[in-house]
Amino acid sequence: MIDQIQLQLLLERIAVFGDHDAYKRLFWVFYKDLNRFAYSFVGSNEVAEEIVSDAFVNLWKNRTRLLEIENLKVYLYVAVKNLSIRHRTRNNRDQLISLDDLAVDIPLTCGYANPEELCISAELATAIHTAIQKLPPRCKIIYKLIREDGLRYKEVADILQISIKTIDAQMTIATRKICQSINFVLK
Amino acid sequence: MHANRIWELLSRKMDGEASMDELRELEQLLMNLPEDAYRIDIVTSYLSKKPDSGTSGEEEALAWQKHIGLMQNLHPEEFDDAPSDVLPPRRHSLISHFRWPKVVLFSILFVVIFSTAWLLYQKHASSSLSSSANPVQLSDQNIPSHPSKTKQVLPDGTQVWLNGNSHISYEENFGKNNKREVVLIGEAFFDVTHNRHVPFIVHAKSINITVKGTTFNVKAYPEDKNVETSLLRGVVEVSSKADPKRKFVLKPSEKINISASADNEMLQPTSGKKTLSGSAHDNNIYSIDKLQPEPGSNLIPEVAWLQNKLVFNSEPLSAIVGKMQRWYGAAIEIKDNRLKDLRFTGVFSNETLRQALNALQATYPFEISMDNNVVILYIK
Repeated sequence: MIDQIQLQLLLERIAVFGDHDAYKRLFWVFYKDLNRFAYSFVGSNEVAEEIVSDAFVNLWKNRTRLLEIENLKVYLYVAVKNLSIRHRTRNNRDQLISLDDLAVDIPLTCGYANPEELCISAELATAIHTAIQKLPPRCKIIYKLIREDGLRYKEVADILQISIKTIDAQMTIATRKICQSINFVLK
Repeated sequence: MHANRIWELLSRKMDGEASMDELRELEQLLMNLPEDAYRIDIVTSYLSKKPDSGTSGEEEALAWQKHIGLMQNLHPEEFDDAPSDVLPPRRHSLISHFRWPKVVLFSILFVVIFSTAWLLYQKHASSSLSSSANPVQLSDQNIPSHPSKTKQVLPDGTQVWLNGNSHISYEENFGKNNKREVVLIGEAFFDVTHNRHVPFIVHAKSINITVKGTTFNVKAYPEDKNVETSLLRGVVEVSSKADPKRKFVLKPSEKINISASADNEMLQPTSGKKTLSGSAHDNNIYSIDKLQPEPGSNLIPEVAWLQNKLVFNSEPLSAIVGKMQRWYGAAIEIKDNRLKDLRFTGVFSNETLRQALNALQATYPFEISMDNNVVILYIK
């Protein structure tokens, strides 16, 4: 996770000085999250990798105008989304891509806090992850962007072009389903 | 059926999106479910813990090598110097990855170009801090500063409301080694989770605030001359970094103002200044006052920002202008010294800058003019 201030600093270094180090750092910080995001759309690791790479090629090409960007994170995710959609429509001719048929992958082994530290058993932790894996695609992509990638509701709304209300509703479903999966139900 | 509302509020809380009203509502709802409170606590603390995305770095290294190859083809004149055998930097080496003098140079440039003076201050604060006797490493865990108010929950459950353009950071091992330490730049309201054995320490500019479990507000903006700590309940202990042995104990509904000029002394390389606690120094370094609610609204001015209100209670215009500059993000200047000491009492919430100034003007007839985006107040 990167601080908003550090991010702004990187952006300014790239925009004003064409700084290679800052460019590299930006790539490193966002590569994995963007790659998984692209994967949700295209369902191929290789293609996802190319898409992220292309997004960064474009970012460098347009670097002198970077300071006009309001939110770099949103910009990168939208760039990746657009490239992914373009790739899909070119290959499959399916003009409409619904959030309901994305292949969102949330790796189980990602570095959640050690369950022991939080006094919950490994079985419980596994149950929670299985529940996350089973979330419907729309819910899962929103969950991933917010919980895994640490984006704000407003940012996700801008990226996926949905309302904050929808995000609220989907996050509510996610929390409820995850808790239900471990037999934790509110009366 | 409140269940769905509870899930919704819990989600928002976990994602740091809940407003004060929503948090209060959640507390209310959960109070009716004491038997579930424990499980809710465990599950939410587990789910809201963001996974660390910076794993081995192998994947990034591979992708970067391919990417830089592509860039060298596309922009040979710009990227020919880039080494092709880029080694993956290790985790957490991101900060050391910056070369310090360069960072300082950049900071200065940016301050000049973008006038974001407090970016520089942040570096200044963290570097002066790490050189002090009780070093806090440059934070691994940063909570970003947002232009508007945000709420954050620290790993120990402590709740922090950050005012606009404020920033809080803490070490990765927060809560371990019997220490809970955070560094604050700007203004924040703390509701500290009670833990008698692990003191909670706020480093703000030149002072340290030590607490065990309480609710208080700290104002330490880079541009302010002093650090103000207001206590609502519990007990806090405030000490200056220049003189850590001298401690002020605040009682509820008290606030202390410590002049940050002690900063300068602290920054001197020779800190053998044992004479700092001498009487000459005492006179203007601190003041303790009672918190007074503004009579009209009954709001306490020090914490009114939590409710998106700007409150002042018989304060001199010079202080009010300071608050208004921050509130409206505008530059305001008082041209006439007679105006500076005029005292005003009032509350602003949704008023525009113009409306607010007009309201003050209605109380005392001064003139307003605009010059290069600076609002100037004067007497004809």
